Amino acid sequence: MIEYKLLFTGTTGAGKTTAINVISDTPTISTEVENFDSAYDKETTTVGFDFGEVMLAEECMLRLYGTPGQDRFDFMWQILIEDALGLVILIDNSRPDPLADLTTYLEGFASELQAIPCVIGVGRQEQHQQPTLDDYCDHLEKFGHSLPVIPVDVREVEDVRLLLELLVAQIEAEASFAGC
Amino acid sequence: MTKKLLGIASRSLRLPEINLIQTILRTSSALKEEWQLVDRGSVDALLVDDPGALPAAYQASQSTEKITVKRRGESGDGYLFLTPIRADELIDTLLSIGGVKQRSSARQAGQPLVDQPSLADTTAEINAISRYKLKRWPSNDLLAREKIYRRLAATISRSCKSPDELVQLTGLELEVCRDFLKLLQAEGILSNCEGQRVAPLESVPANDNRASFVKYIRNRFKLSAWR
Repeated sequence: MIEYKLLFTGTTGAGKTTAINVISDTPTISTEVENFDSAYDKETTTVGFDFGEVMLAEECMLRLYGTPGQDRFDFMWQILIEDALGLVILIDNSRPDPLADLTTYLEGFASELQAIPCVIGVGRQEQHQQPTLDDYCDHLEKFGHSLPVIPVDVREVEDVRLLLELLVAQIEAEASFAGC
Repeated sequence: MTKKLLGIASRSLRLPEINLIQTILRTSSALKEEWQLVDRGSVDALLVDDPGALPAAYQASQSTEKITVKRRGESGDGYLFLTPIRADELIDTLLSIGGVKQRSSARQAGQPLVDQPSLADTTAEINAISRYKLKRWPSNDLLAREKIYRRLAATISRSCKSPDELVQLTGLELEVCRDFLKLLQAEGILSNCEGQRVAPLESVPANDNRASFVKYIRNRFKLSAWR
């Protein structure tokens, strides 16, 4: 069995579990518990990781992992990113400082971002228009990144497919002309 | 229109080369005579041998971009100016600096980023054999012009590609790829990869694995095929 791996990360409530659920063949396995953290308006939160699977072809499986949202579990990130082909960062634009949230992930995955493709999905952007997508691009540029940034509603399968599409375009570019 | 000022504080550039730079600034249709060579005072960009040293004749502000002069084949950080001179590289660099400054000053003034370049009014030059990479993800306005642009942008967000390589990868018409690169260049968010140190790809599975993955995932999720 050939196995591929993609990792979804982002703040609590950004929609990692939902995104994986939308494309997974099997119901997402989540290690969720009741949320007692009053900072987040949700009933449960992921404390371990989310896991979904997609059968790509016979003997070929895509495994989807979601990191725990709360940054006190960030020790899990390095474990989960190992051997991943790509990283999806989901940002919730309704939070107090979404650009600082993005910084957390750019710094947390700094060395991996040199090696693997990544795409940023910004949720709740229609209701919360600041920061704008341009602000995200400027912020990424300061870190030396030109990563794709798109608005997403991860409940919509088309939006999650677009995230995959932009990851795949990067992977394909590197696979075709390695070492550029 | 306020001209942008370029200073030369490099001792390694000789008079014929300085004259050539002057000629490029005056005659390049892409630069539209927006840049002017000066020998003193406050400048927008400065050609230097050592980015840490500044000659007394020039006043550099925080926004002054330093362009380090290097011999072709040498590498360095930030903006580079490689000798022997190639006009297209100098033009690319100045367009890039001009684009960043334009965006920065518009944002500071609280103005929307209007005046998106259209293909009709851009005269940016794309070299067929040069390889290009994004410096910044393009604006939504630009990406919305053609459905294919978002994926094309992703293709050069981490990898350097020449127009021919883009054609080979995507199967799109050369003209489509060149037009897209021209728009990015006119927006000042495209960098020419020559002379840049490219980070090695680490910890990635063998290329054939990734190629298989691309094929499988495209089929499974019915992602758009290029061709």
